[in-house]
Amino acid sequence: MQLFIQGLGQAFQPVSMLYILAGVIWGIIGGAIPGISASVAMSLLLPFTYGMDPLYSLPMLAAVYVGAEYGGSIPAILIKTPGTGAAAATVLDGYEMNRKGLGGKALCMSLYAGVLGGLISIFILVFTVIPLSQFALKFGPTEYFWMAIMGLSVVGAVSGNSPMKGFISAVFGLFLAVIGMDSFTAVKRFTFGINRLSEGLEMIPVLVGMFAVSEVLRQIFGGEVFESVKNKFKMTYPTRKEFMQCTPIVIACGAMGSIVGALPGAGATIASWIGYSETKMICKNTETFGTGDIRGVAAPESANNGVPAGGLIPLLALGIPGSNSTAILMAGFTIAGISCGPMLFVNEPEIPYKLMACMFVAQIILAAVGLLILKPLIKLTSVSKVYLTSAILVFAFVGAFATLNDVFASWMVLLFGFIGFLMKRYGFAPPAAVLGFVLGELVENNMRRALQLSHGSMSVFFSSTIDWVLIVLTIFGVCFPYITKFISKKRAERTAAKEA
Amino acid sequence: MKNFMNRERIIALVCLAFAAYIWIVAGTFPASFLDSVGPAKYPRLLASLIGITAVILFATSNGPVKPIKGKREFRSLAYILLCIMIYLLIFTRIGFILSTIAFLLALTLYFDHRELKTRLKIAVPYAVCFSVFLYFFFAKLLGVLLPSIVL
Repeated sequence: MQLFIQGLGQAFQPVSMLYILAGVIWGIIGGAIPGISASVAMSLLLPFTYGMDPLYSLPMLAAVYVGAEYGGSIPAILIKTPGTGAAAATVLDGYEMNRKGLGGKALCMSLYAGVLGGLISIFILVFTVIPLSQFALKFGPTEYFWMAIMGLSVVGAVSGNSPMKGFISAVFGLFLAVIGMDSFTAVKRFTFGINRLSEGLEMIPVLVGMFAVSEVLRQIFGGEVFESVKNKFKMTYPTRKEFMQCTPIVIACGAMGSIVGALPGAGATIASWIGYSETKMICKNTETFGTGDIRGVAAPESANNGVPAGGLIPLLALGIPGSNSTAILMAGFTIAGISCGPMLFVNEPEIPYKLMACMFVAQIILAAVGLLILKPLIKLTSVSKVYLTSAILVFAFVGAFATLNDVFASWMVLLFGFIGFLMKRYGFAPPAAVLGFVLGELVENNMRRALQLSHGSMSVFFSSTIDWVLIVLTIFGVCFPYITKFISKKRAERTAAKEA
Repeated sequence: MKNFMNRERIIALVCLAFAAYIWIVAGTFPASFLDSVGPAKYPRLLASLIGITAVILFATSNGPVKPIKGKREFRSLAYILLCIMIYLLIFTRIGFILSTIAFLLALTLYFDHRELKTRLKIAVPYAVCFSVFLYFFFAKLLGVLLPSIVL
């Protein structure tokens, strides 16, 4: 703790804060542009860190990571285009709030949840960096498998009126993750003879297509794009009651995000979906989720902003980067001539705690920058629909192009946009398909790995305490919406009978 | 017959056909001695899940189905899809800036229902400025290799 406080003293130095500010702004821009994720934004900055003092270069890289996790939520809320995979869960309620004219409120809650969730995870990091890294090592293939299944339990919440079509949508998403070369046997699966599909479908084109382009096509088909904009610019903020209601969710999801961040290979996308599904499971009156419920913005945003600090746990304590972004941060350490791992805490303990302190300051700077850009961002939504729609399309295609530097990615956006449009039209749930796609690789790889280790025995999936905890949470998550619906129906019947 | 083969049942049959396709194609994947589970089992599991759910959907979709409400602008949908396809085809051939200007003009002039003179006054500067800004932002600042300018 003393080292952390010392680190805070250094992080609040004006020069240090300037570098962190630059990192946060760059991160927000990178996160807000589809195709330029946190890792891409960090990698673009990496060459500039050569020759820089590590006291400034490492905090700046970490600040980019912090800024990007928030930045992804901006286009997710305003134009239904998640800037990063981690913001996909935010689309569900954030965009619905924006459609109701509550975009400012959604952005404000996203900022509040992101900053508070990030701060919570930093505190967790400071106190538990060593024990949490040991806990993360206990996660084997079955635990990862059940964790992904637990993330899928939210399907009921995003299925709309037909749970069966929602289930088919989720399985369709799992199938999309199968496309490409099998990582175990190198067999090409469902590539339709297209070589570019050998490496599988890129996440950003699928997300942008399913969410943004399908929405544009829906609006055009429904004639909404011809409607003139009646709502003039109006800024809304969350009420005190809403802040009070969301704060426990934010704290819990921030803590959960830091734990998920500590698991190598999990990352912010999975954390945000778990945050969303667990909040839906635990909270009362959850039938409004998916229709513009502010808790549906707070939960995933807090969870994904908790991940950067959590991601530092295996990186700093074990020298294992758990995600692309932490791998780039590790490259930053290498450029600075510092080796990550257990010896870092023995030889140079001030460095990891200084980095944690800088991430703490980055969260505070993020809050200030986020508040400053809130109003200009909301003004964007009062632009004429025709111009906004055409800009979204160009943005979507260029963003996807940026992921592969190939127009093939833009064609994928169009294909998945059309698929998403048809799914919506016929009562399926594109968000469930996205959820399946995001978690698909984790489900299949860990299921097969576990079965190989057990020589085909299914008992391996029920062999540890962590497995059982995750199974119980999954069953609870699947059944809970139906149980609450049943209870409220019975209550309503009883009240009606009494009144009669 | 119309009530029997309603929209929901047709959707269920499409899902069933999709599941059958996955099942059959997965059967063509070669097994490997390196992997006891094999590349086909997991896709076949997914196909089974889709198939079973589709059968339940078919069985439970009795009687008339509510029609889908709202306007249907088939012509606009076809127009936008055509515009996007042309845009993606010319994107690498004539360069980012020119293709994007043409795409934005095609969209804004068609969907904006004001007088042509007013439309042009707004659409042309918007298309040019937005395309040039995006080019410099992505290509120069972020290092994305956008197709170069052809003038």
